[in-house]
Amino acid sequence: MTDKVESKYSKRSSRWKLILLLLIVALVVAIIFCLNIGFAPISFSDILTILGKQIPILNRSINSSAVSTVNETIILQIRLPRVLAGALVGAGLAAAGVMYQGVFRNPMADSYLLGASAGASFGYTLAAIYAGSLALNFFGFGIFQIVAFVGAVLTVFLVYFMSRVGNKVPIATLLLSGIVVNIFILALQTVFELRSGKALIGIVAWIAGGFTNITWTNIYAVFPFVLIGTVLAYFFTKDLNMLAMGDDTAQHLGVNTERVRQIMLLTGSLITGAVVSISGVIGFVGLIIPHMTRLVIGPDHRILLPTSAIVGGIFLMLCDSLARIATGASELPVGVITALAGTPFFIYLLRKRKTIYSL
Amino acid sequence: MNNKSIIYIATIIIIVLIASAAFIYTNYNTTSNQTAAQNNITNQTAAQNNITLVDDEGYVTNLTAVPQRIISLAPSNTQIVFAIGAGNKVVGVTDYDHYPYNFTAWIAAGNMTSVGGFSTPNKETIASLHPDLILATSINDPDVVTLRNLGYKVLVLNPNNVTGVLQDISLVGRATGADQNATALVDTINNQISAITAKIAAANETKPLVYYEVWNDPLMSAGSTSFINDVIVKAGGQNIFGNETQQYPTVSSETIVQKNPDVILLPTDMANPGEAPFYGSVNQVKARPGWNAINAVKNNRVVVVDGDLFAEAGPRIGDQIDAAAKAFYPDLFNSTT
Repeated sequence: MTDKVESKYSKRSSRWKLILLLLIVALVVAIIFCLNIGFAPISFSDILTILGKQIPILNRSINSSAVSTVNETIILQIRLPRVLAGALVGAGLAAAGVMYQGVFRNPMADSYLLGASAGASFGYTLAAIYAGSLALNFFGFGIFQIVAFVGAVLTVFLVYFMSRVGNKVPIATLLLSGIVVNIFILALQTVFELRSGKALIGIVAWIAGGFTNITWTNIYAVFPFVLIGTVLAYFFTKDLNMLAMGDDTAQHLGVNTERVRQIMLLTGSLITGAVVSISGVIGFVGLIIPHMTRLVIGPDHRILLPTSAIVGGIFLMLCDSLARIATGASELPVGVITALAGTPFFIYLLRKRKTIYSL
Repeated sequence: MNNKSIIYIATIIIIVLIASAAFIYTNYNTTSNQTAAQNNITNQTAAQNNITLVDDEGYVTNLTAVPQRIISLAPSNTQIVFAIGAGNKVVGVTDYDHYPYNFTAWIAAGNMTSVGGFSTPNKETIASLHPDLILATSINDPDVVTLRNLGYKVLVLNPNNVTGVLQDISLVGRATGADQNATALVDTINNQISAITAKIAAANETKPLVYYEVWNDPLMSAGSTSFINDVIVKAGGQNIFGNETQQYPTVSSETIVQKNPDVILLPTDMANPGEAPFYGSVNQVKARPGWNAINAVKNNRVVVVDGDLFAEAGPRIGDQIDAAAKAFYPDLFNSTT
């Protein structure tokens, strides 16, 4: 009997490892593919040469005289950070989505539920109106990113502490507080938008989401949040599995439901705040990617979390590539592409499987 | 979660934080130097041609040579560059540039490159044009940060009144080595405006109350901090919302009727100059409920003005003020045309 259980477990384990390996390979391929897409026509071999030059040992055997410095700047300073940001933000949003859906046990939960997007947008608006001309440079972090991040995190904390009753935070209260705070901040946002004058176009464009101004510093700033957050969450995936069976059952199985919720919400919100501060509010990824992955792989959070993260990263990178080239020199907001592209694919998956795994 | 897991997590966190801090620190110091070297185009002797410029946001930029490849991120900037005779150095404009040439046709024919719209100038396009000077406005603030980090020289022009525009013309003149042309242009404009102001002062008539409608739904006008307000004031009018500090306040129909303007200015569509206001006809505006009590409607002084011209803080401000003065004092300015 134990042999059968063990072999089933190791089969599933190796299946998971294979899936993850394949996905990582797919991610690398997608990154290189997306580097090829952009306004400036740079040949594939040039791109490989430029990348190869950056690898310490390999670059001795690479002849790079044919590649112009302008193209090198474009690839290394503009396109590469942008593509990587797409992967990072996509992974972060999807991972946060998995965490939120696990905590709320609700398929409609996404990481913006507790006000991270409202807080970030409002912070950005304030910064754009009152501090736009401050060429403030805190180690390369613009004032906009800092204020957006602080806004997101403060809002989530506000919602959380508003909903505390003694030592517990009832889920329904949390949801309601989130909705109320979102509405409130949206109202404030509207007032300030009307007062913003020239800054309005920039504010609206930023909120719609986009990667037009990504620099390497943005990546270094956000990467720790996404990596640490996802790794941390991974240690709680077993708990999330048990949480899915209901609070009482989970508690009987030894899960400290309150603590797990706190940590998951905190982690998810920090990740969301960090990625929104560089990319604006990109919808759809946090909500639907976890579902898409769940339909294919199953609801076990131990595989769902890393898989959703990688799938989210690939998806957003591809959408951003489309946004870059869709309309000549100007760009479409990335959030538009994610919704337009993702919805039909999601419907297809849904029809094929005919169920959503309930949490 | 047992102790082992906690140790794992703590180790990972510490490693990642140290690595990121190291990356940020080293990259912050070297990036701008590297890319500035990569973007250095001219080989002219630096010492002689060193130009120090302070833009409208107080940022100091140093040019080591006269720029030969200029990108403009706003129509008003493009117009200034062309007006002072440096137009042949412009290599990139926005999708919204229509003056003084048909840039859309130029772009289609491949003789000019578009860098995109107002809020999303395309960094790759800009990089592939390798400019040595970029003229932005405060709308582009976030992009300006990125462009400067990439090593480009960016001047932000943000005029809020006529004086600001004239200062910007001088600034661009200094930046492009066209100082003399710029000074001449500033003098011409100043003379044009002084002539108008003097004529109005001499006539000693009461200043007409003016309402400028920026948008119809919701009704929006121009406040004291807007450029439009300055044009109205210089043309001898009194903006009925000239006490509002907001640049473009939302207003109510009732307030307009109560303030009873003598002249109403309606802007035309930027793409169709000379036609009716872009959201309806003059008669529709006059027919608004309660508006028949307004002096401007009663005396048929609802004037359609070129929205493009009025909205731009560019070298045509003399003409803007002229058009406004004609609307405010038709008897005074009829003969001069």
